[in-house]
Amino acid sequence: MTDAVKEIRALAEKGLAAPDGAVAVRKDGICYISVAGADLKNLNETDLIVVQDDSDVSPDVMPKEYFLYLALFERFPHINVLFRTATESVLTASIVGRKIRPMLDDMAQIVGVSVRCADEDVFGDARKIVNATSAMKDRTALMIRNQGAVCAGPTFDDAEVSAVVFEKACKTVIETSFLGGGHYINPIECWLMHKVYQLKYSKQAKK
Amino acid sequence: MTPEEARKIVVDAGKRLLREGLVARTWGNISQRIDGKHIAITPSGRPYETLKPEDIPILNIEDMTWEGPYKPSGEKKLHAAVYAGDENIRAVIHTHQMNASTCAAARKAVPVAEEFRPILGDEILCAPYGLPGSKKLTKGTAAAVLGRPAAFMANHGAVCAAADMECAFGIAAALEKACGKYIRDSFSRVSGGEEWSSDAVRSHYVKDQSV
Repeated sequence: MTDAVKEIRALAEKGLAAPDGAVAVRKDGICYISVAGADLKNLNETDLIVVQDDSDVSPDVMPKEYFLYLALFERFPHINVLFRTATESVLTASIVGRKIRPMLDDMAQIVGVSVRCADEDVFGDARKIVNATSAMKDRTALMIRNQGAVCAGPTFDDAEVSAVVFEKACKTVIETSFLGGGHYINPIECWLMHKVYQLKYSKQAKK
Repeated sequence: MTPEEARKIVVDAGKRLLREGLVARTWGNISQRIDGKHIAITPSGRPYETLKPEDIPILNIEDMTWEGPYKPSGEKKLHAAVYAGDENIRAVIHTHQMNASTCAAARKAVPVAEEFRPILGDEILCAPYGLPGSKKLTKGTAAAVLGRPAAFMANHGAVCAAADMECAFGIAAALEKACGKYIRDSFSRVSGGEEWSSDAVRSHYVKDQSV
């Protein structure tokens, strides 16, 4: 897990992983989740909870994202990295709590047709966790009210790009409001761009 | 200019695009004119960091045929149209830079502050929205940038055209600053004179959206 630890530290150094958030990685079918209160910039392998079928994890070390992350891993087999971001504009958008739709085509391509917002208390409510995982279908991010967004991807690079692009998307939505409002891209075209990007990217990844 | 010289300029410019934060990953694209009919242009979907001169395709802008190991950028017709519109244009860059992208999402012509006018002119026009690589995007953007150093591409980014690559980067930098100033001035106007800061932007936006 040395590489994963380095990647997590890098996400924290870049300011993309929220300092009070948890990071989760799935490798060879095993999930690793950073412990509650972990210092992500100085993370060690011992700061990762190894989640296996017979795991007996103490609630004291479980971060609040624990069950949401496990539910997301369970629902989406292609996702291997999850982290919570609270960059400036993402946090602002999560405070407002409204669904964010693409005004720029890079969000449509990378993140999806929209990013929905889960309730702040989603982490401790099984029904809300189920709804939140459904809200992330065909998307790479999910906002959490007042707490930024969970970003996901098959690799660290993909999850990082999702966070960077979603920050840009939120910044655009916020700042165009000062210019009299921005124009959203038609949802059907967003869906089309997202599917074309996924197809193109998966072809490139195979090469 | 030889094809080899043009390919090297494109490779160096690709790395500079990333370094200056004008694009991320493989987005955006760059081209350099070789002669009246040919340009060197970034290939489709290849990361800028690892590009080598021999990877750069050479495109015939009249019949859109190309040579090289990788196919040219999906926006090749846009580049070809910009060169076809003005024989003095020798370098074109398409960026996804932050402030210009915000203005592009507003689909507005942006008046340029006096300090940037020597580089950008009086106004930056916005081309109509079109899907990436579409005829609508190509025609609209070529028309918006004709006789001007830069234009917005609605919901997409910006295009900068110049007599050489150095100049094109200068235009992109000035465009980013000019758009940043326009956004900050607009914020000041709608917020009743508030100074631009993270807290002020958040507080104003949250209040505005809660109404």
